Amino acid sequence: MQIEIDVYHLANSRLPDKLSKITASNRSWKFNFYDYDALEKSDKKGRIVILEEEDSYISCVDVFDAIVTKYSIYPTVIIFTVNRELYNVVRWMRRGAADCLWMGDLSDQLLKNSFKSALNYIESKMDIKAGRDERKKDNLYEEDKIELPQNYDWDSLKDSENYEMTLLSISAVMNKDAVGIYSKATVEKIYEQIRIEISAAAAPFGGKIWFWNNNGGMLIFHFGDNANLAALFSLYFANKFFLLTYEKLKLDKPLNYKMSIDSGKGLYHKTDTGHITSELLNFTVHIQHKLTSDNEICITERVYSKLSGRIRKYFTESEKFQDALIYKY
Amino acid sequence: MGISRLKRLLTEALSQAFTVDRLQLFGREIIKNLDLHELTGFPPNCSIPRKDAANELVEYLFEINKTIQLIHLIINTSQNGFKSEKYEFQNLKLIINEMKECGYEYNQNLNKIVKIEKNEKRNDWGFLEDGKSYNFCFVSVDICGNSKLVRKYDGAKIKESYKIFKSLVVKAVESRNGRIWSWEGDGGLLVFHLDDFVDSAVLASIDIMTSLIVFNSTMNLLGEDIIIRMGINVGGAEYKKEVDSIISDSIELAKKIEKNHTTPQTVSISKNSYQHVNSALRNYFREKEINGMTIYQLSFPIKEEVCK
Repeated sequence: MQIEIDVYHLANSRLPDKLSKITASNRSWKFNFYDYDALEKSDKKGRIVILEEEDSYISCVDVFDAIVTKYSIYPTVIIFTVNRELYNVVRWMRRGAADCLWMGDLSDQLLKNSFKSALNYIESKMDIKAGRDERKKDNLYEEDKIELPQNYDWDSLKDSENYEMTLLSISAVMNKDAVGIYSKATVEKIYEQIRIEISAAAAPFGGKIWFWNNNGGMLIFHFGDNANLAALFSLYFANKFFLLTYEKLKLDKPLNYKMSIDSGKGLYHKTDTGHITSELLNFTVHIQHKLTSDNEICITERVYSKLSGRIRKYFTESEKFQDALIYKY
Repeated sequence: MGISRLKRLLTEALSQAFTVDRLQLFGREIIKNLDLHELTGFPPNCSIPRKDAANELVEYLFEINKTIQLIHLIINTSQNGFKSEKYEFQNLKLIINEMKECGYEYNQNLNKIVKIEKNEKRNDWGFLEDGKSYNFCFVSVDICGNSKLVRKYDGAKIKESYKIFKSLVVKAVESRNGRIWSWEGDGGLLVFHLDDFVDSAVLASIDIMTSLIVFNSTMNLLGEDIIIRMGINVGGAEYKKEVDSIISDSIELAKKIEKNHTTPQTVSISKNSYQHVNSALRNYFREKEINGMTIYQLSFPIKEEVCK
């Protein structure tokens, strides 16, 4: 690909000849020459701009500004100068020039190196552009942040009313190896302890145990981003479950868990949970009984579709159940 | 108040409980060649008044920094007797209270007198001695790709996210009696020494990994998940007050395991340390050969097959 370079030179300058000669054998570059007076005639499409300095920074900086501001994309500028003062170079660099070459030193190699650096600069700018796109992704990630509910009041919900909610059915399952090791009373104590732990663990996520029976129960999430909060709780608790059984319950044989989650509108009653029938409730229970193996979490498509990118990655598509797609962890 | 009152209480306790002969035997539990006549200046053929003997002994032990050892011996004697005889120290409660005033307390679980930890947890758990060797379980923890994150994200967001991350590490470690000996923004060295310290190290590591799921979903201010690696190794090290200056092969191995033998979101434990882990915990780890070293790993989030 040919790179176009716009060269702005002084009137009667020998620079165009010099550049043409030096780069005659190199077809990578295409020079467009303009003298200062013909500034307006420039197409301004070069990605690299060469500016021949009049005699110092001071006398030429206005031309520099006039040129660069006319380009829709800020060009990479190389200054050609006869001024060997170091401070002159520093000033150009500070102004935004990519390179500053002394006219007496011009050679094919020097130009190649300078253009290469300029191209690298352009490419790195392209990277920055790519970085911007990445930042867009980052913004999405930031927007996906799940907020833990700060204040919520279950008493604000009225009995026998329908509410948007996410239900999480959870069961603790005794490991096959452990059956028979513990007495009935011990097993009951273990399940009771698990209930207490689940209740405490769910609270920061805005969830509460709606009802509980022996080794499992139903958690309800209503406040805030309840689908995400329920799913996040399930992931947290699934990973913490082992710590709970080993560290708190002091069990040598770890317990297993099963969890299923569905989201939608459902009937709420604070206490009379035995008589509540809702499609949501039934579906959540059915998924757990029919699809969920030990140490698995099943969620419905309704939940999956609401999930933040931060936790969606933990779930993979599994199978259909009653025409609904199920995702599993 | 303070030291002088403590000395007075100790003198009282010893003089009431022991005859001079028994006191000499008692003192020899701390100083092998103790001679109370020599210490008090009384000629060998003269009997020493109990109070003088006790007073001189207490003063001397204080001078040579053995007061804590004396109090510990008194506590043990009150519980288990001395040379098959029971002794009662009537002012023991007062001694313990006064000791607290001086910044020490008796830890029944450890059966040790430890320095009282006020706002900050002490790196020495209140009783490790400078220059002495102990067994520890070291955990090296590190945020993967820290330099890339630092380049990519705003400094304030990095600082805040790392600060929150550290707070969850502190919670998981200190709730299991562990300490953080060093922390450099993106990771550090966690140390466990008390009770079943290898199990504690493993459990704390699992806790940190688990909490990271919630951290990344709810608190992480960066544009991507923070991912960490952890390496665990058990071994000895000579304790120094300046914990940064502790040089130990065991620490280095924990760091090496974390850096060279651990994939992201994984806890690795050295083969030697794995043997000390409780069997119920061991079942969760998988043996792996990574870069020529046999290690045991647990990756997060914990997958179903691991639990079976």
